[in-house]
Amino acid sequence: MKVNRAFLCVVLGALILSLAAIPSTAADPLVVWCETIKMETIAPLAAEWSKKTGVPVKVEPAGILETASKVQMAGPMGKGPDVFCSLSGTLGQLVITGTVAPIQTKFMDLSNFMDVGLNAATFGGKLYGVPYDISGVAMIYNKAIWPKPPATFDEVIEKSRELRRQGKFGILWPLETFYHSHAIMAGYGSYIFAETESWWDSDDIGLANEGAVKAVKLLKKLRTEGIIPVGTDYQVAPAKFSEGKAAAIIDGSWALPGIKQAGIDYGIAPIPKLDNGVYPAPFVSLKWWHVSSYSKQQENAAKLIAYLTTKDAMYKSFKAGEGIPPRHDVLEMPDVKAMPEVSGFGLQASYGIVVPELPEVNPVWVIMDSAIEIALRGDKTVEEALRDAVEIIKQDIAELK
Amino acid sequence: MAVTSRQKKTQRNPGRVLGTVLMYLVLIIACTIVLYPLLWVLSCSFKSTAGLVGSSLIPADPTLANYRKIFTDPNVNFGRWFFNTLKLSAVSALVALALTTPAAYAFSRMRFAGRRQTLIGFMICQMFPGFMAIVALYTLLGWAGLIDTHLGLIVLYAGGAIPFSIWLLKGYFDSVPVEIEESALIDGATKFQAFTRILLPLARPVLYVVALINFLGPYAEYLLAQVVINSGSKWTLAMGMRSLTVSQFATDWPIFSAVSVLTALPIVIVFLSAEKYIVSGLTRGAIK
Repeated sequence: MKVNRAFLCVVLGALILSLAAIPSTAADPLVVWCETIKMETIAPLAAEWSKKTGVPVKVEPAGILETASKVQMAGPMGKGPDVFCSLSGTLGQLVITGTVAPIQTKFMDLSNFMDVGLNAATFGGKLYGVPYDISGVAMIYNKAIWPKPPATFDEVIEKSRELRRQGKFGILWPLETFYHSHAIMAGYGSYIFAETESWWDSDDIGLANEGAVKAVKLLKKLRTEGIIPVGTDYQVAPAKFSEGKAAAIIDGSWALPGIKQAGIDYGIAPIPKLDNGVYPAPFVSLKWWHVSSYSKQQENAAKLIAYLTTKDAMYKSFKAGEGIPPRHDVLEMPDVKAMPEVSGFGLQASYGIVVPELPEVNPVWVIMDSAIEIALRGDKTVEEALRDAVEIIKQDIAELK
Repeated sequence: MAVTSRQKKTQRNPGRVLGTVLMYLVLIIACTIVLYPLLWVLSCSFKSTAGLVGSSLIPADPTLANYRKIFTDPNVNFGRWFFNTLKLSAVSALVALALTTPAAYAFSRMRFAGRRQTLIGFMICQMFPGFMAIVALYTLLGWAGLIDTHLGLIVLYAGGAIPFSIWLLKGYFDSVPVEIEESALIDGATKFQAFTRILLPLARPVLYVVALINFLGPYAEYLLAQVVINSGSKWTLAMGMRSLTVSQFATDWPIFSAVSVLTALPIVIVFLSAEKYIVSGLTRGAIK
């Protein structure tokens, strides 16, 4: 009896394991990992493409924050997707580890895509991702004060001075937050890491250059003249705007529900041109479609991505959910133009820049936040504060290595 | 002089009363700390606006819309997630039980080479957080072709349960007197019969505990499930809830709270109905 039972257990165990090892014999479908909120619109589009081309497609929902690491693990095992989405911040890692393959762009017409979206995914002359969503901050202004958006930043400053004299506010945003204020700095020619043809050069930091100094001096002017007083943080600014006491803020679409509830007649426009004729360039965040380098059907994957990012597909797919399509032609469509949330943020985003996709960028935020704070307080001169900040950043980067 | 009983009472009473009051105070504080967040989640699930940091415990505009959304929103596949989670938890619990009870019997009743070392080895394995082993486990599953399968997850959950469950069961078995089984063996029963007909019925409480622990573990487990499962149809409740919290900017806390409440309900029911077994299972071994 004992021997029999033991033998049975071994045979059973072997059977169970072998069941798992049976390979599937069906034709492999093209696997797409799509972010959950976009499933509703992407799944039907993929099904359409599948019918037209006869290639079976399987669309799975995925958490966009996890796809990058999951594909890196699942890909080599053969269990990864062919097409997947990712969010800004992971692209650098995906390219370095060789998880994403260059996309065969001969299947798509990229002429109408925003440059910022394509450039951010182009390394060494090859495109590693097709953007399908872009988001960022813009200037939200009160139409009661500005029926038409101001044309230049100087206009904004003038009006702000006037309003301050009346006890109200002009433009407001958290000055000491580098993420926001960099828009102005970039407009004057500052940059975090210089972009080379294939990557970023973390040794070339442009945060203390002429443009940066000019920009922070402008910020200082806004502070010393009292246009943006001390203590304006990311909660105070929209709060004042919702009360009707501020003419404009620099914020994102997440601030809109509160503003709408307050009943303010608002408009959205790019932050106006600086006195050098250049638009400020805020940071934008993008979502991309990628072709996995472990995919065995890379050509089909590229064709599917092309189908999902045509003008019509993008029009359909963004209308249902949140986000802004990074295509000029979709933004120009009449009913899209009539939606300020989309056309306003979209236009501003097209002037935007992306955060360098390097781990070296991590220390920059906090260091620059305090640098701007120090410069605004007057503890150091603007040039000193920025130069010291860059020194600290360089040290931190050296330690990272 | 003998102290009268009345004097005795007044000498003892203030201390006792104070002790009782303090004890109740501590219990009330502990209950409040535990219950308050739960009540908050419950109230949030009835809220109509998206904020979590809200005004009051009782929502201003109570609504059932969130619960309705759970069953109508195409991105929320609650039924599927719930079924998958139940399946994973139940099967893991059964497999763990089936694997560990005979093993614990062997460790408790038999003596063999390497017995002590293995037990100590189990204890050492317990010290490593499962999180560290994720890549290794993933690779193993890959070799077995079990990535993106529920079977793979069950293997991980049940397998991971072995050390702790064996320790728990062995402890309980050790407390059951060997004499009963020995007399059964003398009467002609096989070891297996002694195990199933005598020890297991006596050990029912601890079996419930092991089953419950190995059911609850996978129920809310997120990390391993997230790594192993790729297909949307195989998602668990934890993965589904995560997908609800991660949206572009604002987390839709009311829906998340509603899903949490629905997720917790079966566990509460199971626990309340099996409570007496669990308590006796956890305490009896200690006393004997």
